[in-house]
Amino acid sequence: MLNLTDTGLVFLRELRGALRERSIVINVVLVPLFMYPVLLWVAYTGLSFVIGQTENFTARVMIAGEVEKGAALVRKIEDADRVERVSAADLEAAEEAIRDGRLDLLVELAPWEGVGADDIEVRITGDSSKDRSRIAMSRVEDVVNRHRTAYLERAGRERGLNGSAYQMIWIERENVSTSRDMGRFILGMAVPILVIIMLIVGGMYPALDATAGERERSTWETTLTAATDRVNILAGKYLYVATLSTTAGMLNFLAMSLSMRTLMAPLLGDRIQDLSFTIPWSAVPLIFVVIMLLALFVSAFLMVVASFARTFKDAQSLAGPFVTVMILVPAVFMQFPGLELTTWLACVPIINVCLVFREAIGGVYQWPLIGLTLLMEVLYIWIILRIAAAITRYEDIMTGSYEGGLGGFLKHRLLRRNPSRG
Amino acid sequence: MTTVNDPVFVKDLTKTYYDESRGSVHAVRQIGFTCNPGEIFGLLGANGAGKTTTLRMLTTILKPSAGTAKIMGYDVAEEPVKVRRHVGFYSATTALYPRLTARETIEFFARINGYDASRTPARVDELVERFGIEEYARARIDKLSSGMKQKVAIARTLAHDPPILVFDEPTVGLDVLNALEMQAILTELKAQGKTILFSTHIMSEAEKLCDRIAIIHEGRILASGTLEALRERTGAHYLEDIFVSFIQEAA
Repeated sequence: MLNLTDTGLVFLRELRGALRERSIVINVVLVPLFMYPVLLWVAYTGLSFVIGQTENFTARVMIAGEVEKGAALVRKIEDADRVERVSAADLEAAEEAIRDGRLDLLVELAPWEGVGADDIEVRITGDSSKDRSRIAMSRVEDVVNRHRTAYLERAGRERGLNGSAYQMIWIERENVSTSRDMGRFILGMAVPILVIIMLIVGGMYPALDATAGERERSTWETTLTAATDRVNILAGKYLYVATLSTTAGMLNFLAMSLSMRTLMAPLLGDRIQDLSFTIPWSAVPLIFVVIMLLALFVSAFLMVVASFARTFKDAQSLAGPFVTVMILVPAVFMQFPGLELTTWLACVPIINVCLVFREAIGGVYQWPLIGLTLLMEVLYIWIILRIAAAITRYEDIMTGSYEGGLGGFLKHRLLRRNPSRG
Repeated sequence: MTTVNDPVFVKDLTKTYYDESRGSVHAVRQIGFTCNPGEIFGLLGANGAGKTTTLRMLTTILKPSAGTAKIMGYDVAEEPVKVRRHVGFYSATTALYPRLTARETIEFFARINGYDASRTPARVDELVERFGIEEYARARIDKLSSGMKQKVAIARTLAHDPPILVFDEPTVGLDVLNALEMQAILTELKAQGKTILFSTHIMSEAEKLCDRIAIIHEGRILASGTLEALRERTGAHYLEDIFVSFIQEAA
């Protein structure tokens, strides 16, 4: 039976020590609050600069063939923004120049046996492996398409036809999403994964420090002499790690939510005016619950892994691969287009809460699936804590003389496949 | 006559563990002894003799593989928390929490070991004064010298005022002055009526401090009794000779 007084004493002792450790304060408070927003701002500003550099160049385009027959189109290409008409000795030399990067695009105009006397065929030659050539191609295609559409509209009007009649299908586009919806979409894509990273960063140092770190400093044995059940010690430490992890997650969530507009401004330019980065107040309690559950899961997992290490460095090596998986898997999953919370995904740890998180930011609440997600996450946390409690019964693990790792422990001791080897 | 009501009662205590490279290792083999109230009982043995393992079992850090050990009547295997409430364990290898202050360390151990919360501040003051650590009581442990740390470590061992104190090689790594101070503290604690179980491999220390001595070798107790009794059994005068005599006899 858990003794809350003793658990609280251990918790406060750990917390008090942690708040005096610079690296823990940096990882739990400063990094989530400032580092990611600042890093993202720098990255987005750099990215927008690079994009600007690429998009603002003037494309060098050579026009050859029936220039007189396509004079109207040639004029439009020449007048197009950021397009410069250049010349080359011949077509072969032009293709060579494109490959060398001295020319971006070759536009050849040829007569076409169509209905109209001034019908022409446009052949565009570029190098898709080069950014400049690709962008030049897109600019010239835009000009050609606009020219063709204008021609068709004019021809249709002369024959008394409207847009859908002369084009068979006329597409009308309308975006019903509001500026708030778009802002939430962007928040939902970015914030959950950043919060996970922060939860892990915030919880990792304390988790390793409270287990392997104690062993390395020889204070573990001191702790074991305390007149309380080992489960109380474990609970106090767990509470401490989860508190710091939750704090890191919450602070990051607040920082990212409040600064997203500023962060995205360099990347989106004037389009930022059309977006509103607000999170519905109704989602906040659910988001806090989700952050807490994630922190409890991550903390329990990291502590169990680190309890098999003898030194802090050992623990870092042991936890490293797991941490990578815990960050990479949801990061990759969350990029899948159209990924939504389903019954199956509600059973996948971390990804399930990430999806609930994202949908909550978007103001979407699928309550049965949210309930299932929370239930499954609690179940996973319970399983990990049971393993942690089982570990406290093995004195070789507690005293650091156990030679194996988590896998060997689960296989040989908990599942009793070959206890003698464990 | 020994009884389970003695402060420390040990019978057939055994510790066997599995080591990947050595297989089954018998660290302690069916040892038995008792400690009387208010005496200093010494476990004398070479490195690796089984002293630390024995003391770790008595302080419930390790679980015995077989046999019985009781502290103030509480079985170390069955009632470990109650045992720990009645024992203060000091070891040269157990460190202090580097980020806490001396006061916080003593207070933490007083509270977690069941000392009354309302009396804890007074108890901390008392120990801070007794060990002369007022000046650095509010400094972080990792800022203290090893001599200062030693005093804080003893203070934290005594924080909950336990009737039984276990000292595992307490003078290892200390300079002469600090070692002498440690010996003085043990004598003072004995005078206060504490039962002290203490391990050492330093013969002079055992000779000077212990009321009774048990000679432990390869996990077995070869002999135990007062220094006089051991002298009578071997005919040797110095503890060093007595020790060697028993080791040779066992070999």
